[in-house]
Amino acid sequence: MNSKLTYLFMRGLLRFAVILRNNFLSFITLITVIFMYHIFWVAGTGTAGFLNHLSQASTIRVYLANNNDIIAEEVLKSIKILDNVSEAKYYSQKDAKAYAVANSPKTAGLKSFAEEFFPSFIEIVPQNTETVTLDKIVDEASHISGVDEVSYGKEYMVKFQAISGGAWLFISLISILFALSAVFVIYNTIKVSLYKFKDEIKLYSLVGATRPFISVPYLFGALFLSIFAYIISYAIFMLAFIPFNNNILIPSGINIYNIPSALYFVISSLVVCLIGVFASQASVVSFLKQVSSINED
Amino acid sequence: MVKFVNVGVSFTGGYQALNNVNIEIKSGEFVYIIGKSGAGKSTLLRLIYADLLPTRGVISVEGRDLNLMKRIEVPFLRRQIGVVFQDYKLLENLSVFDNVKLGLDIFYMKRSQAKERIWPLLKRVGMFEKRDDIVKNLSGGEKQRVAIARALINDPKIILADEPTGNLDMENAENIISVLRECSESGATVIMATHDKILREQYPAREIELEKGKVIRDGVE
Repeated sequence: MNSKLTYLFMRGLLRFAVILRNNFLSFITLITVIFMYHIFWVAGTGTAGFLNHLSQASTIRVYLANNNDIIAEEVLKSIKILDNVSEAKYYSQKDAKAYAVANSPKTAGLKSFAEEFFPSFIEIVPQNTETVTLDKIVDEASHISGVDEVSYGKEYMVKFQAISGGAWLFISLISILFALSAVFVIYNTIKVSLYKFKDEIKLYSLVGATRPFISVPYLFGALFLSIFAYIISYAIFMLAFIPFNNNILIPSGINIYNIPSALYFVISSLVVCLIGVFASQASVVSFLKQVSSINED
Repeated sequence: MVKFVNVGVSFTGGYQALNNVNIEIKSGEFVYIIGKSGAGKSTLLRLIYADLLPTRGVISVEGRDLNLMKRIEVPFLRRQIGVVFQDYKLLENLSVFDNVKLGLDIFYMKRSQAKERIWPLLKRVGMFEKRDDIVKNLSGGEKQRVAIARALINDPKIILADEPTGNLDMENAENIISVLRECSESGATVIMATHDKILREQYPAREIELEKGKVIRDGVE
């Protein structure tokens, strides 16, 4: 069994060599398809992750009816004794301005605004971020005297969640599209190679070759094609992405795109290999159906 | 043994290549299939190596009903059959040795092991000296001897030869016939489609004559 497999493996290597020699453009096309997928994956998951992060509320804001520090302290006391409140802190107008300036370092001119433009507020840190808990705190806090408005940005959260969901849908569709592209590239590459060896295959069939004897070398050939295309595309991607992310995106304040994880590498490379095997098998089966008998041209 | 019972083959458009053919060829027999072009000689041979299925009737080869045979069993039937064609069907860019080795590749045989089987066979057909020559540089007669070596490499029980001397001069044709007759004398069934009347007269054997897909004569001339 081992010697049979070794024999077919070696024939697969030869088929791969022939594919590279005669059909190098297909190999380049496959590398490009997988490379583009890496880009879409990183861009898509980075954006979806960022939007998902935005849709997670970690604090609740309580805006007061007037900017009176004494009333605010009373409200703060009432808030602190509510259920599910982990922490609560009062920000006066001065603190609110400092908070805004600290969280918007790129917004020039914010410092020159008068403190009156920054309403005082109380920030609540809930014990958990479940919507039910947040809604309960909002409901209870809004009934406290001196409170004007309580919000954790639910309406924005819903929007961000929807956009994040859209981003994941986009990634899924792109994945299917790229998988189909890879299938067609490999399918056609193998088909071209099969036609190159048409006479040999007919002769093997005549002398009693089984279907696996004909198909397995192509299966190995497609596997090598997929693996090498994946490795090369991944190497090119990393060589392009790391400097671009470190030297352009991060210094520009865009720190949402990360190097794909090892899990992505393992799963996506396996999927590419499976695509190779499937496309090769489909190509061989279709070829053997189309090809005429040895005794008719 | 090869047996045809009421065999008919129709192609698309209603063309009947074979019609109600009944023949029985015993093991070790040497049989000529004769008839004009289009009489159905090649179709009859294709049926035997399961390259074609009959539209009607029953074909049995070495005791196996081809109609009932599964697709995955066909390669194992073909390993018992050697086929020789008028146009040789060789891979022109490979050497003589590699062309014959095709028949052993399917058994995953290493080159060194294959040599032990191929060299004596090439000696038998007179092609040993040219074993490393590229096939496209050979003459027609030499190519046909390589094709015969390939057909014989797995010691087939049945040898089918479709006009094997059609492209050869008399001397080469006689060489080919003598190799095929040797095979028959060693116990293989040889079924040879031919037009060549002179050869048939020189090497008489049972003749099955076809005309428009029907057997019109079966016997020794």
